[in-house]
Amino acid sequence: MNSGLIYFKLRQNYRTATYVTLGFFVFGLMMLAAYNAFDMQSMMGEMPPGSEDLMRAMLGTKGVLMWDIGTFLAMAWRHPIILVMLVGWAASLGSGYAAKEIGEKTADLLFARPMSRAKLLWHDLLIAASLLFACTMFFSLTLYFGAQFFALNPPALSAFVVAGLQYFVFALAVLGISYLVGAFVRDAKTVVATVGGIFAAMYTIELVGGLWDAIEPLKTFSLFTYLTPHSALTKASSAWTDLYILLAVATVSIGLTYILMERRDLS
Amino acid sequence: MKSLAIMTDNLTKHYRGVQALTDLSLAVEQGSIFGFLGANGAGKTTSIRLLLGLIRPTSGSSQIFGLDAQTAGVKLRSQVGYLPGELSFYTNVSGQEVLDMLGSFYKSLSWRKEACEAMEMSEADLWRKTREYSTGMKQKLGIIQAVQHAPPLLILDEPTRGLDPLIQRNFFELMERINKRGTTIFMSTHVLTEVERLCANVGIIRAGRLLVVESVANIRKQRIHRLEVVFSRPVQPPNITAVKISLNGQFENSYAFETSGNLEPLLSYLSQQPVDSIVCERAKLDDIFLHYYAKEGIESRE
Repeated sequence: MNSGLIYFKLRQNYRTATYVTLGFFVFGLMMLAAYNAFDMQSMMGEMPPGSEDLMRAMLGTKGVLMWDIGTFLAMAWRHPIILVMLVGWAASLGSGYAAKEIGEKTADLLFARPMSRAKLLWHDLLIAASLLFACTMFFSLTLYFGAQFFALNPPALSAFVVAGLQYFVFALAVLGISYLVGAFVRDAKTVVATVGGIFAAMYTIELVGGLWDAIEPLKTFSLFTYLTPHSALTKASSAWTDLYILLAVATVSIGLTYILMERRDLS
Repeated sequence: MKSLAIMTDNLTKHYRGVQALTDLSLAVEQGSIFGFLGANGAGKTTSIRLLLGLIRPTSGSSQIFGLDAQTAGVKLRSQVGYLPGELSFYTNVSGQEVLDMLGSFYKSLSWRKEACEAMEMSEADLWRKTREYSTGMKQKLGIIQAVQHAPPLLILDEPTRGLDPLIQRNFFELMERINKRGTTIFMSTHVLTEVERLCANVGIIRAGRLLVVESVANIRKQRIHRLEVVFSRPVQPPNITAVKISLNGQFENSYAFETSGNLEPLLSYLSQQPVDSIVCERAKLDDIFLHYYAKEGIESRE
């Protein structure tokens, strides 16, 4: 383990990580404050016909929706603004290993050090995963303690931890796919744009598939299908299955990155 | 014979149909200073990247201190200090942080202080963000990071680019001191005077092919001199073999003389003539390339 490299990578990324985490924190608290200030339960109950289908599609759930705090919190986790921030940040972190180094012409400096590309990848992964873990868990705990603060009677802390873990592994899958894209391209912007495009397509499939039966089979290919904080909060066993699927995607993409980077010309 | 610091065997690299490097076979002795001379795009940087294992050869192999670039890359790179030609640094950190990070891969940074002094980089300079650095300061930081861990082999890709004359002089002195301690220096450049100043041997590369490996002394002998002479009255041109004479149309009684090697016969002739003015041009890199190209062409016809 090279502590100098770890410090340097932390130094490069802590500022963005802080801003994103603060953004999540403020968003979470504002959502809870809104829930506390208004009678959301009856507001949601009075929504026009068809709205429930849309809400269900956005939450990625099936069956009857209970308009309780759990459902509302699941909305916070899967809110498009939060998802855009998370995907964008994870993609940006994932672009840092190879594509950014090549694009900014620092690859010749870093990769000429006496460390294998695999070890450099593990160092990068360690920092990126730690930052993503800290942010996603902090968001989860913000929602739990915020709900406690407003006396909204949230589910148990363990359910929030599982939801946070699932959120983290989802971010790890974005990171892995970004590494993989970065193994082919030569600059960070292309990585972020490509991964953004892939996840926008996945989100569309997930949303439209929830409303339109003909598209529903395609939802299997969308990672958003496996981001189910609602299941985690209701302690459904499928929450763990979804987490393992996301973990498998992350592992396979990072593994493929490792293989591709071993063969890649760094120029 | 001394053991080799660098050895390449028919090293070849093609990029999507472009032949960046073809059959490079080179041997650089330990403790020597070797100049790798070529114009931009000649294949110098590709050769260096292949040596360091940053890119993979299409065919052939390369070794540094007997370590293969493809199979023992990590150990090989621990022996090398490298200054890239296209130098760029992480922008949101200070020079000091860059040096610390890049130095964190090595056990000791015993030459950092000396390198900083030679490059005239103060503490205050090092603690500035690298995005505030001028081209020259970036180059100085690049040299320090390459030298700081006292490597047995220094690979420098166009090291004096952007350096002012004073720092260039310091750089040459630093290289001479380091070389005396046993460090081998492999320096790529397209500036002939740099090679003359430091190197004992030089390899000339053009269009991805190594034209020749020659001692600098021999290069000097073969270098082309061009003299433009204006005479105060009409003269009879000399009859000296190996001197190419042409009329210089700019002035009356003006001639251009071109010769390589020994200048004595030409100077002896000129000393007996009514010379009004002489302009002597240093040989350009292109002239040397042309010289070797012509030579190569004759040899291949034979």
